[in-house]
Amino acid sequence: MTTLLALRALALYLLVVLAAGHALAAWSPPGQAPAGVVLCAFLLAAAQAGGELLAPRLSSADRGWRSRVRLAVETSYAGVILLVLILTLAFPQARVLAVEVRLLLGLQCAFLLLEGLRGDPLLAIVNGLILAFVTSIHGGVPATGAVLGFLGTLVPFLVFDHFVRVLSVYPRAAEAPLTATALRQALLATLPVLAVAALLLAWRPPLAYADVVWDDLDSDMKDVSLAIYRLLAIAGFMGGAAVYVVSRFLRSRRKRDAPIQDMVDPVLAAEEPLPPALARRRPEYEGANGRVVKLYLDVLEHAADQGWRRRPPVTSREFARQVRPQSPALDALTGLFMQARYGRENLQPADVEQAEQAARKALTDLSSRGGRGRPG
Amino acid sequence: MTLARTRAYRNLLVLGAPLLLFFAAALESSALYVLALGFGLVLALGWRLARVQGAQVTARRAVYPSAFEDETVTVEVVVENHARGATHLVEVVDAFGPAVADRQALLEPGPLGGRRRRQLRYRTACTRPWGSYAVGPLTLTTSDPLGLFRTVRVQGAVEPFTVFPRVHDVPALERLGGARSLTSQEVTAGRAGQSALFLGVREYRPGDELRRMHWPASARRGSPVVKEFEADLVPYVSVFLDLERSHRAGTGKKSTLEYVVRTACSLVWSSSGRGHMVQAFGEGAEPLFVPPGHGEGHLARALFELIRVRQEGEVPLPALVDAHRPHLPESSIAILLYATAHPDPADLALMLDALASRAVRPVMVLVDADSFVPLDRWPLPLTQALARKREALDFLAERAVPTVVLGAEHDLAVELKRPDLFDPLRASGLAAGA
Repeated sequence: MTTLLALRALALYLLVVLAAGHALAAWSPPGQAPAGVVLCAFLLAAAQAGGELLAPRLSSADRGWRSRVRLAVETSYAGVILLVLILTLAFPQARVLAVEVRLLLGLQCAFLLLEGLRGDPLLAIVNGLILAFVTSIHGGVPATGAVLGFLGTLVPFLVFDHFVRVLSVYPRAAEAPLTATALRQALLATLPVLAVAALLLAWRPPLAYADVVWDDLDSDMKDVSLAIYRLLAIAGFMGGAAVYVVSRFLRSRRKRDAPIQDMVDPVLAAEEPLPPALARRRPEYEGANGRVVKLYLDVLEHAADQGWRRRPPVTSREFARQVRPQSPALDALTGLFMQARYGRENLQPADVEQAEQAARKALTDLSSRGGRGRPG
Repeated sequence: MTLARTRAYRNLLVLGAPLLLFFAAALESSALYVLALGFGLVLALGWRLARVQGAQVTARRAVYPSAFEDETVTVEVVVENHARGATHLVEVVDAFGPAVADRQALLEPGPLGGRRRRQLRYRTACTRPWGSYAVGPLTLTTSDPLGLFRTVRVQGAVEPFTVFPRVHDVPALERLGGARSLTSQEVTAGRAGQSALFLGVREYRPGDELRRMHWPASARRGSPVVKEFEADLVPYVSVFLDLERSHRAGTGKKSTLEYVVRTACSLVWSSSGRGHMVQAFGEGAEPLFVPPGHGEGHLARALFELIRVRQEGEVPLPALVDAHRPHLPESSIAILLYATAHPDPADLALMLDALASRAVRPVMVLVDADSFVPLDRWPLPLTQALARKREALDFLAERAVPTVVLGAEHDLAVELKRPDLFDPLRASGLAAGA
């Protein structure tokens, strides 16, 4: 479980650092970009580590206070997003976009620090998305890197987060060795998405937004040196390692909250193959009688799915009596079934039609009413 | 499972995809198109995997349908994966009614291989009081690996589960004797019968079997002498329950119904455990009739019938005994569980005479309704209640009827285990004490 938590933290860090790194590479002057990228990688790592430290205190803080602060933060951030989008579309100037990137980077650090307030890093992920959006306007390598980086880290993050969320509710199950399984699932889920995205971007490389205004001083932002990406990779790797280690250390020391449900620790027996399914073949019933018998058996099967299972020692009439409050129509169908199955004479078409109506009504009654079945 | 976070990420993707498409069109950016498509692909993948997995994973439960109060029960849940691929993180919530915490949540962490099954066993205690409860259905929750879409399925039917009262051994039953039996029994009595235990010899009488002739003794005496053997005894216990509504008192664990039912269950259980024949009668909201029998199957049926009684009858106990008198074999024991400590001596006299005419030995268990909180009636003044109680106990002591009085102050677990519970001398002592 600790490993899964650390992997989740690592995936989140890679998501935010790739988004921020590509945005800085796209919208920083070439002279400032390397320092900016390195600084951003370490700042984000520090913020995430700080968030891990603060999380227990924030999550156990007064609920009312937490709700108010959350509402304020989320409302303010919604306003910031709106502002960024309006500025981007209305004033697509390189300098303005550079300022936006720095603002979003600052917010990213804050969201990582305050992750414990919400209990999840949704705001950090949304912020990463906005950074990817701003980067995509630049086009070229930064846009490609931002998109692929975002998709390639979002999917593994969701997988690790899902495993962590479920396992945290079951204390004993959390000890099960699921790291390899989670990694495999993450890989299997990421590869197709990444492959499709990469193919599409290779087919249609992203171009810069035509309306972007490049000042004389900012014109060198158009070309992004690949050396920045090497630096981003190294800084991201170091930051990621730091986040992984810190997360493992902090999580292993953290007290686990008491479960709020009565979670039982089951004893898991060994896995065994399923027995071969026995072919359930009903005997062939012919004619009008056969039709009515088949209708009755279909209704019984549907009733069993809804929780009204007829037990072997219970006769058809007894079963109809039990189900009567739920479905009075079954009485009529049962009577016709008895005639069809055990009677000496063949039923008439009118009887078959009556049986069909009763069967339809019974199926509707059993499906629509909310109550579960009672013992047969 | 924290559902809110599942929705938050899914909502981000669901809302983000069309917004990104919009901006992609506005800005003519292939990067944003690809990002939007990526979101859609993630959603589609998650939805598809959740559906496939949810439809192919089933679960069923196996549990013995009855237990005693506070007994720990082992419940087996089998999770089956009918898909080809492995499944993970299958949550199973079982509704186990007899436990106070009636929702038991389990996790099959996986990986559970394709076309394979795994058995999960958990233990829980029947912490609720005796009665009939429901177990089930099972709720199965599966999800795609990204946790975006959950599938919740309810499986299995609601099944009955019976919790029997905690029973206590009643060693005093051993002293009560039994009825004669023609079949071989472990218990015999020191009087002539058909058992294999030698009693003595006597003179031959016409009709005696020749194979019972004692030839050496006959040779010595010069006249025919036959062997005599002890009588086989099968202790035959009939339990009559007073379920008259007017004798209701108390609530919950301190009520006349609780004491009557627990005592009856303990008597039936102890008798059955000793190989006695047991039958029970009562007339509550519905008639109670446990036919005579012995063995575990009969005991289970008896307990099942006893926990269903309700103290809502109109038939007094003497009338009940009179109605079932033909079912009482000679020399058997009739335990009369009264839900009052002062039955009418006149009724008692008639009833005891009737039982005596069939050589049925009565045993009285009086549950002192006045010691419980009164329901449906005003409580009798203390002096009057004590006087009536003394009158009844005096009467029973005169007739040397083994009597025991159980009140709210008594702990059944302690009282029923007394070896002198049905000692006739206790009746005198009780009368004096009252």
